[in-house]
Amino acid sequence: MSEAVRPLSARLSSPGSAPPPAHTGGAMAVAASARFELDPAMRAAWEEAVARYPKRRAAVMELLHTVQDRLGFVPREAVAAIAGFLEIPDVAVFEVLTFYPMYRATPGGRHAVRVCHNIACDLMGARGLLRALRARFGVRPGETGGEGAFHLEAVECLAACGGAPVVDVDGEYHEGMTPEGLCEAVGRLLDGEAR
Amino acid sequence: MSAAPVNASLGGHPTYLLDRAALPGSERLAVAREGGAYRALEKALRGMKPAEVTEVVKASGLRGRGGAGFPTGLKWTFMPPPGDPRPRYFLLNADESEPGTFKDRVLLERDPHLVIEGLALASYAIGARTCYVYMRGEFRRPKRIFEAAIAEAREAGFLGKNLLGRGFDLEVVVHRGAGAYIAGEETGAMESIEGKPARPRPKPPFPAGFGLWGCPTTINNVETVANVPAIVERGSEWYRRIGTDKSPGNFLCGVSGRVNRPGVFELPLGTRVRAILEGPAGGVRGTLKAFYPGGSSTGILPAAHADVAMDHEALRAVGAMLGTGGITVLDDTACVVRASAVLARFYEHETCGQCSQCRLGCEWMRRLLDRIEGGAGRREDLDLLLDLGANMSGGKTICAFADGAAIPLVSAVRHFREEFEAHVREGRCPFPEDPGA
Repeated sequence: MSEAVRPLSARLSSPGSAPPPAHTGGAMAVAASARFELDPAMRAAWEEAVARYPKRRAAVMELLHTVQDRLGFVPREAVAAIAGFLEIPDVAVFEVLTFYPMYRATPGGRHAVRVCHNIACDLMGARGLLRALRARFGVRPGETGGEGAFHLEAVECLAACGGAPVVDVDGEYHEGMTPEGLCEAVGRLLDGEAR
Repeated sequence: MSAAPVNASLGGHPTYLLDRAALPGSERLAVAREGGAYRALEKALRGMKPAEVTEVVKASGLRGRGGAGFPTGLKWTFMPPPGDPRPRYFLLNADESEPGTFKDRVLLERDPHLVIEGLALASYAIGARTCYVYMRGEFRRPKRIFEAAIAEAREAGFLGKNLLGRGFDLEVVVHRGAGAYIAGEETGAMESIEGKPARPRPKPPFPAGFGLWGCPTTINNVETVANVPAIVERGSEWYRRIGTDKSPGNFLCGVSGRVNRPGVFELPLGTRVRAILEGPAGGVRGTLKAFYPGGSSTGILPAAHADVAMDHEALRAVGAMLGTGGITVLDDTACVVRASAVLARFYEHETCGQCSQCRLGCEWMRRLLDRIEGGAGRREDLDLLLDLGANMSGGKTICAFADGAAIPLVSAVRHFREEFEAHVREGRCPFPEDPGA
């Protein structure tokens, strides 16, 4: 084994390394703390989700989505609330939260910018998009820029390869993206915050 | 809305998958019905027994469009006989995430009623009264459109209680995924719907006997069920006249990468790659070097194979697979080592981690490819890569993920060994940072 082939633990703990794979990253993550209140609107959404399945536990992904849609991440208080609601142990919620890459256990930015860097997008200029964001906003994948305004992620195939390179901004796809177009779009997010 | 062109009428062959997709307002029931939606469902519910629907699909030779190409009608017959007391489920796989694949999204957004009619026919055939749709979490827009279509269909009596007054009930539930590729594996999807990490189950037992919550379950891909209305309406003989003998019908061919007109095209199975690239895809940008014929997990083929036909048999004969039918094109400015490293990073990110061959193999694969692409590779790394690929392949793991991860790697070394060696020899990647530059 060479120096280039470092132990997994060393690679994961080194700053600036690639995001850890789903099967290890989750276990290392610790859900952040934040106030969470199950208000009537969310309780109704949870009841409706539970009714769609023969077993309560099956609603866990939808419940995690409802929390993240509102707060931008899933704090540990919400993990406990979901576990209580579904009558399963906290860890059964936590392992789902940490297995699936779309869920966040810690706060990201107020906006999410997700640049696809899989094969078709790589061939059509995804690296140029990431270079431009770094040059203009000083942000690399996995970092938050604009004083918390946006979190940048490089993500795997978004199933929009015909429109490569593709960027998902707050859940909406933008196809055929150029470096200038992306910087403008991110700039608009920051302007929106400034107003 | 997708910027990619959708063209349903190339070369004069019969079409039935994208006929309505280009119409304005095609996602609305009124427009879809104008274009013939739900005629097949009416025909089946009014005049065919469930077994007759299965029979016509079996006779049509339809094969699954999600990647494996298993005969659809035959899969339906694996469900237990009607006396089995357990509930039965139909699971529609809309977790489209194979790199280079973007066809199901087109159907979900542009002709959701075709998909709903297909899943209703499938559910009727297998006796399911609940259909779960596993929709990948990133598909917010497709989900909005699809759920609106479900509401319209239910209002019109094509879903819900007592469909068309014929005593058949069907509820459709959309399950939102959260970004894991492995949730597209059939038993991974079932674990995920049950509220657990999407770790595939050992098989047997197979889903038809022990699927969702241990009940009989059939899972099909979106494009697969979109074939069913045409088969039911026009018959298996009509269907068999399209495509090839063993791979009948049309398929949605997504073309991406270095071509002038990327997009999704409805073409008969058996259409040659070169004809697709030079025809609907508008030609290669620069000179064709290589292509992944049906998603990354089907391997990479050099330009010399461009006359291969897009069907299961022809692609298998050249050591590749039809997969999802999504062709990704590399021109001569693109680097095969880099493409392999990009894919290795993807597989490392997406392995569920329960089998060591896959968990460790994907990581080693990514490290070795990064090292070669970064200019620090060694001569012996190439044989190490092939050894690694062999140790990940051949059914050593619970699901086919490890095989799928190894195939692009092994095929790249096999067809482009000289390019890997050039990286090692020169101590750098000889290609430009931006393909096309």
